[in-house]
Amino acid sequence: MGELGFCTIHDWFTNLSIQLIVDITTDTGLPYLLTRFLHNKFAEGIYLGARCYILYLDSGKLSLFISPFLYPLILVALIESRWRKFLWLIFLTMPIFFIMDPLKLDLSGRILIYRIFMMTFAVAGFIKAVLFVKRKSSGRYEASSA
Amino acid sequence: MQLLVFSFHLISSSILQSDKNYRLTNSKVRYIFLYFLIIILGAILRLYSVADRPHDLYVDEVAIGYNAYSILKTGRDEYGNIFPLFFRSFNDYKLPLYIYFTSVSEFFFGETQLAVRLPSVLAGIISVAVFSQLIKVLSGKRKLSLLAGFFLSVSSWHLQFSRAGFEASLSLLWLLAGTLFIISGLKKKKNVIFCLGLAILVLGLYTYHTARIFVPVFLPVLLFLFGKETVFLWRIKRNWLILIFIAALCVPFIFYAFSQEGLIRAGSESFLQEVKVEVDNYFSNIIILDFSQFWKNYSSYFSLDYLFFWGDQIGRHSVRELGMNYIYQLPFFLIGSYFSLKRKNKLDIVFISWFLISPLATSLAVPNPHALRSLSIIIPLVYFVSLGVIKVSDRVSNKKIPFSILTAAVSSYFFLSYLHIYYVHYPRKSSPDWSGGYKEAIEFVRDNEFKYENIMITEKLNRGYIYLYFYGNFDPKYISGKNNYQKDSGKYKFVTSPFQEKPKEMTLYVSPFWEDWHGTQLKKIYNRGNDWVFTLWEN
Repeated sequence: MGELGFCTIHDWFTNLSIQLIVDITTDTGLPYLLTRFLHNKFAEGIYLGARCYILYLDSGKLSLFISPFLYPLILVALIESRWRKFLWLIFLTMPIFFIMDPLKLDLSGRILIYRIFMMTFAVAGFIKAVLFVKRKSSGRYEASSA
Repeated sequence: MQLLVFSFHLISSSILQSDKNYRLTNSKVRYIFLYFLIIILGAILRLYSVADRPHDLYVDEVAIGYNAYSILKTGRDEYGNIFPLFFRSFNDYKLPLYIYFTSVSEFFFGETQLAVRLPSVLAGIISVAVFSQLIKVLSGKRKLSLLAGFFLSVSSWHLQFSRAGFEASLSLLWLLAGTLFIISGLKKKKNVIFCLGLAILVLGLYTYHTARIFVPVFLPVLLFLFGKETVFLWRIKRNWLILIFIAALCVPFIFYAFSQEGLIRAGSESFLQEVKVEVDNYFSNIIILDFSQFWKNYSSYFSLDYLFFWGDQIGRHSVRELGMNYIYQLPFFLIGSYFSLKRKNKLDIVFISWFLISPLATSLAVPNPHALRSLSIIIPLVYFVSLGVIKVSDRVSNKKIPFSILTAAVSSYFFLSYLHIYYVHYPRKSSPDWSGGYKEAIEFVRDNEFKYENIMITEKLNRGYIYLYFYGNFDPKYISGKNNYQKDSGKYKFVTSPFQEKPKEMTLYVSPFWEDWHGTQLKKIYNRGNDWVFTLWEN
């Protein structure tokens, strides 16, 4: 969906129309009500919309734009950071920004913003990991947890 | 189909609906009833029209079927090797166990499509039962075990591979049964059960290739987790003899793995083919690029898009319109995995380890992600989903009935949707992936062969000789080990297309659809997607 997985709301609705046509055509000969029950805008719209959203958080898509060695750092930023709830909120809201596409960016612009976004998280995770190791080695970690 | 969906709905809501005292699951009779109902549901889903749904056999199944039949009749494979340990087949050196099981199946059902698929089907059904028991042994919770068994029985991923002749389905059964017996043996301090579990895991090595990485990595994890319980084993002297015997069972496999044939097989599938080599930088090649490619492959198996939305796009591996699992399971999977990671008891560590180890073997091969090779990942996935459902159900304790009805309704809808896609869309769209039209072409040829002195079959019928011998019911005594049997057999010959010759004798020619031969067109062969595949000519 979308160019290189950068799905927008336009791609979402376009794919929805195409998918419905394909599904209904394949069901030629079947009862109309059954076809409409199984292939309708509501169910397929939710499915494609959810897919559109998940693609921005997908490891396969990430691997196209950033090094896979940075994945653990992004996880560290999201799990171990003091502001993790705030970071999770930004992380989970990011796909909506791309889907709604308010700035009408071209593909290169979207790739750039996506990479900057993920690299920022990776850097935050790296800083957090370094601080954690430093605290543990200086013994402050054991004292503070005690 | 409505009856199936109703029973699905009934079972799922029955499991979820329980009061605070868990009257439902504490009752042993109800537990046994639900347990067998789940197994029966799994059996119906796997057995219904399995011989020709989603499709006729594809090339590897036909090869398994023919080699199994050859073993049954002559004790030799297609190359004439007596009871081989590894089957050369298409130079892919298939592992033996599934083929020998198919021989047994063909003894009862003949050289048929059902016989080829039956070992996988039975393995799938038994896997549901064994998995449920494994959860019960590890957790002691009946509700969790019933839910897990239920989700596996209706799992689209598991159904896809247990309804066709895939060795991975049988291998998964060995992994489940081996793990169950090992853990049961350790917990009950029964060394016989423990050793039986080890022996069952060894069977996995002879069933499917990914087990050769999974078993040696997962087994130490299990032994480490249950470290205290293993102490009693080493004190019993005869256990050492049994363990030596089990280790000896692995020796032929180790020899094969490092033999020329084993290395050819490994090399042909290796992920290193995808690595772009930079000649000038050795460090970059070996350390950075190889590991980077491996890590990309490995992380692709945790892609939510792959698991719940898009699936594996190889035609035989999924219905391609849905993910490998149902979309409604995604939130439960996330919740279940979160609680597992947070809790980290032995049960959770077993399945977290299983989840992390499963993609290791398949990440070393191409392509990725590969749903067949990573089939074992369905087990921890179903566990996390089941755990997630229970956690949510516990949180909505004052609204349990509406929650269970809602969950059952949503899951029934997606299940019905999956069945519709599997039985209606999938056979039409995936026919080329399942060698659509091959069986019809061969059957026509065999029915009419008496009219012709020569029968020419295009080599575009990929590995057509195996289809000919299987669907044509050729006696393996006259084929097995014969020279050039892949090119001709009596009046049958495989020829390149376009076929330019004009034979003088009465000839039947099976051509690809695009060829316009000079003879009289007899028939067009279409696959289930109504694509024209072959043309039959005579001169």
